[in-house]
Amino acid sequence: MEYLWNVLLDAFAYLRDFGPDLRSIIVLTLVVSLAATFIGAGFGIPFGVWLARAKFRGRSVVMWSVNVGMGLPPVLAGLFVLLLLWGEGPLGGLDLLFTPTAMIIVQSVLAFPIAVGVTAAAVSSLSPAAVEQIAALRLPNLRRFWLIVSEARPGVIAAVAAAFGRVIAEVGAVLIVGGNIAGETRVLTTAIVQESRQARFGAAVGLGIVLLTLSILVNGLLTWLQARGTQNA
Amino acid sequence: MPDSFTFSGLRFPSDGSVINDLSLNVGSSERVVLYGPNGGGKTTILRLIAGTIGNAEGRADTAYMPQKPHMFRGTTRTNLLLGLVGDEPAEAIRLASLLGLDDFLDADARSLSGGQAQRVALARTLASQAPLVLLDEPLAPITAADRSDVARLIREQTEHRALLCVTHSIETVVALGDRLVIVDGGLILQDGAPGDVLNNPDTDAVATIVGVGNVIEGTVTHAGDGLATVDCGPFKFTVVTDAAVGDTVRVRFGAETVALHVERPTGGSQRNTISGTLREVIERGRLLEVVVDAGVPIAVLVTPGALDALDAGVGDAVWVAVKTASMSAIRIGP
Repeated sequence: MEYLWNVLLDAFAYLRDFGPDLRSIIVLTLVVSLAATFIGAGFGIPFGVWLARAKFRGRSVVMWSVNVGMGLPPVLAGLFVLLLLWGEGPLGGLDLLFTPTAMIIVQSVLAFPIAVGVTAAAVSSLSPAAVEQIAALRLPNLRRFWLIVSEARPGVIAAVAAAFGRVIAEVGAVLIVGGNIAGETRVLTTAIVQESRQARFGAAVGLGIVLLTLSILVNGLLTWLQARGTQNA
Repeated sequence: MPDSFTFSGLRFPSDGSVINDLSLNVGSSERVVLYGPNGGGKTTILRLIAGTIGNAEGRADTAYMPQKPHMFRGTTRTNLLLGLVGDEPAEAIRLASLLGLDDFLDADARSLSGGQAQRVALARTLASQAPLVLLDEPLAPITAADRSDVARLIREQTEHRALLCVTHSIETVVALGDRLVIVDGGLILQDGAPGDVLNNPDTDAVATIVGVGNVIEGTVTHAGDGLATVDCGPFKFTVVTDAAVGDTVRVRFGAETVALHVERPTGGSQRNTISGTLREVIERGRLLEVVVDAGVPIAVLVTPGALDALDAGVGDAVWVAVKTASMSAIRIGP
């Protein structure tokens, strides 16, 4: 017990000595996670709305792919993006490997199917009366899309929360394409891995507390939005 | 605007098991009511025309009110104005006011009752300037006392455009229809003026669906104490209605509520006795439909035994008697 207690004391000591290193890790974590969530959900929500309503041959194959994507092992996504961005790879010329941009790309790839899948499920579960009324209204396509998103708001926010949750917790893919370079591509999760490997458990737990706090804050905001969506209007 | 809307080859689902290759023509300022039992395909036809199901290619410009009104998140006003452009929002507010929604415009639309939600949907649909209005059971959730007024509003708002309405209520048929189309099993069984179809069903199937009935249109010449005298041309009769002198009303009474006499009946409670000539006798299952020509045809349902006892045949002078209480009148115009 004393050992765990000491780890916790070390963790608070680490946080107390909050320095520019820790700040840059937190900022990069937030930038990469929020950007990837924004991109993944930005494309995933419209695609999910479309997929829930579209009728075409092969729709079930697309749904299947989305479901596979939702459970895609991050290291595979990381490996795939690594190959794309590698010097001799098709996008090697962009020189993006081991940059925050590469991390945002791989995180967006992971966020996208989650946004699609959860959105499609939310839109599919709208009541038949709502679906009929949406189809009956004489609305331009963009208005129609917003009406659907607004109607399925709790589910669509769940899609954003799930995408963010996957991205901020992710370590394998960003490690592969980001490289965990101190001051450049190190984020909270990769920093925790680093500190744990070197048996600096106080620092690792301190970083873990920060990670958990960020997650609690962002999800708190989303839950608040969701609750507003359920109760009123 | 086209002279009429023609829909042909309507089919649903792709195997045609509900609707198979059905055609329907609606004049550009005609009010058509599709009537039939539940599950007969009426709503499916309306949805196909609205384009909310099936292949929506070549979809007509329609304003469609589904049977079950759905209120979206937001206020009543937000819902009322959804999809409306130009002068339509102002018209929607005006119609909502006529429908008694003034006090609810800023309320959460999801707190509205079913009847109120229906009025919001109706105001929105009628405010749209689409040349073809599609209404699914527009009067069903409306309180009985208000139906006549709401029906009149619908008629006013569809004065110069086409209305296609679906219902399983004869009251709605009489209140809204200038043409009645009987639909069952995904097929059109009969198509004609409401009075003709109700008075003279082509087949036993139609007679079973609509019952045999009479619809007579006339003008109120005297009114007071909730009763009115209606002049339909050949004769006058008394009905229960709030209509005022000069109003046009449609009066419906079932053929089974009409009594047939060979002499002028006296001493009974019926207010309306009308003379005519026995024109035709049609078998309706175990009963007989007697058509009496009183200037307008009046259908009377009797048992074969009763007709034998009267000893009346085609060409004979007869009297029919209808109780005022069994006649329902709907005001359809001023």
